Amino acid sequence: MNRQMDQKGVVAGLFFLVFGLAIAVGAASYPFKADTGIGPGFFPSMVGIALAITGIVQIGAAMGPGATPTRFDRRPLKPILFTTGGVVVFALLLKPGGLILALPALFLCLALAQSSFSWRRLVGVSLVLLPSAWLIFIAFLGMPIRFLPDF
Amino acid sequence: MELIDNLMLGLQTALSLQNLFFAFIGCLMGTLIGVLPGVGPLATIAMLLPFTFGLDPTSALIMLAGIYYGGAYGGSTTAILLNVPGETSSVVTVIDGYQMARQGRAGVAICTAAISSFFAGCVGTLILAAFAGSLTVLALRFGPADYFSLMAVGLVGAISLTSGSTIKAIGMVLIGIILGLVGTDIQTGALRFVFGQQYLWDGINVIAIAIGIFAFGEAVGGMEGDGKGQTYTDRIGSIFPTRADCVRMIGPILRGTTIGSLLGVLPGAGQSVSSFIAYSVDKKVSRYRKEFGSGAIEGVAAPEAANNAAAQTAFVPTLTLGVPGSATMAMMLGAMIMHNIQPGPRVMVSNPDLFWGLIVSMWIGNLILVILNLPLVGLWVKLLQIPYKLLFFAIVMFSCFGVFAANNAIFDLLLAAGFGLAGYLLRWLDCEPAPLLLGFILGPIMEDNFRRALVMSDGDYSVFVTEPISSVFLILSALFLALTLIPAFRRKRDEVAIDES
Repeated sequence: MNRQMDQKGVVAGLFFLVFGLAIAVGAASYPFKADTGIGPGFFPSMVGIALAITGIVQIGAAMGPGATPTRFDRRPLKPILFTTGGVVVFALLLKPGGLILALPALFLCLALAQSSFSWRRLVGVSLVLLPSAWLIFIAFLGMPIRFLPDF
Repeated sequence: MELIDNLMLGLQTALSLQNLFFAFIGCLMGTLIGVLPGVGPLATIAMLLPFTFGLDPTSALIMLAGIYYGGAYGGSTTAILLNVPGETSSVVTVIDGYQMARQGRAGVAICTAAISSFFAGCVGTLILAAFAGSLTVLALRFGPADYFSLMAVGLVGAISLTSGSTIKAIGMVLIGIILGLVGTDIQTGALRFVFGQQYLWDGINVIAIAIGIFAFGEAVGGMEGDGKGQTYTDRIGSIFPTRADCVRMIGPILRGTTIGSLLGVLPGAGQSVSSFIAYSVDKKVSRYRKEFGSGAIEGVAAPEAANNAAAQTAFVPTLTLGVPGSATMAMMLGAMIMHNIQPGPRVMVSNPDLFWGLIVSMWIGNLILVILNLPLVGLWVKLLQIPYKLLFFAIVMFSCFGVFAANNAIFDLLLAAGFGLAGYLLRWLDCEPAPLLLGFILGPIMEDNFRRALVMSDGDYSVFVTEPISSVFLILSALFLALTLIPAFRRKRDEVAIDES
């Protein structure tokens, strides 16, 4: 790869191109015409094609002479992976495990997402937020969530 | 006078005990979440939206308006005390507000922000009330083709006024439109891009997108800035401005309000641009211009007035035309749609008590904020004394419950997690996600109008150019796009504009 290139721009453009083409192809399986006029496939495939063209323009601009060179900075992936991963764990545990398992599991992932891990912080946060969550969301708002696991 | 009749109708609606209560609760919760560092107004609305479910539409909208103002106001408190702009529109408030806090005048700065916001909010509401009627009459004449082109202008305007790459912003809008089309097609009932997931039949939940991309992203981003810079949460000082302060405030508030009211109507970064412009205008004309940057009260009053006036007049296109000018407004529009109210000229005609009740409640919301926040400053300060590494847990937890509460669906939580990761990667590619949300909200409305225009023209695509109103809008959008290609405009824009999110 040429070092002078706008690397982020090229990748963004490629993403637009691939996503746009995928949508255009996917939308082509829906009818373009309906009894009432335009069918459900027409508009999304147009938008998909427009996105693909945007991608090509973006790649061109990023590789062209006027582009400001960028390189991929090393951005820590750990915080976002553990945060969103924690949300997934919370989602999967919520029904079978109840708040009492799902929330501490979420907090464990969040504690791992932070730059310094501390058991004391994790336990303290759980002791404060778990009862608050029960109070606000189950007792007060009546959300259909269980506090204890579903045996 | 018609305006007065309308406002009276609004007062009757908004002043019911029930609606006052919800306005109050909305302001309180909005401020509570908005004060949290790193949580912008958009994420605040998304997180608290589920709390409005189950209310009747009028009360729900009134509470939403309270949340919106509370969130914006909480942002400026955080900005002043922590030197962290909680939202992009308080970026300039930080400069002098934080200096005032360093001098032990944080209380005065917060109070000044409240007074300026209140005055500007009153003027903004009057302008909104005055223009809503006439704009609505105009908008009722628009056909589907005109609407389609109007939304194109809205999107292009929003893209070209925000900083960063225009091409990338266009890409993000298009991705947003595609995401907005997922689910059951309204006109034919066909299922699109649902991948066999029953949960997607009703489309992607806007709260899942907003919390995933904005709240999770902001929560993680907040960790990077944690522990840097000194905070002034321990010595607030008196909150009451001195006589001299009050006199010095008047000019900047008037100037800021004027600038904000005018710019707020524009699509794009109206709110943040207006606070920047108000700050720089006052820096040029003020007698105290030398003090700017070292704690001038004008440096807080002018941008806060502008920002709040713009926050108010930004509702003009959103409510009367159904075209939001910023991602935050798009979120408000999405919230109204979730309450089965499709904002547009028809709301005012078919639901006048709701429409005028909402407008009056905006004014009441501003009043409540002043009454609520001056005594509660101490409480917000206490909240800000909690280290971010602890708040982080609460922010993510509240976000999760917000997503889940929307539909009681586990699937939405998984979606939000996916969007959180996607949003992070897109930011890594320097693709700002705010335009995506605009496209997401406007996409389905655009498609609907596009198809209806073609039905009326018997499938003749030239209808978008031959209809006079539509063609004017299309020319406008072309002009907006052309503007971004001019280097001088880009430079100026990048100086002023910060992406609104």
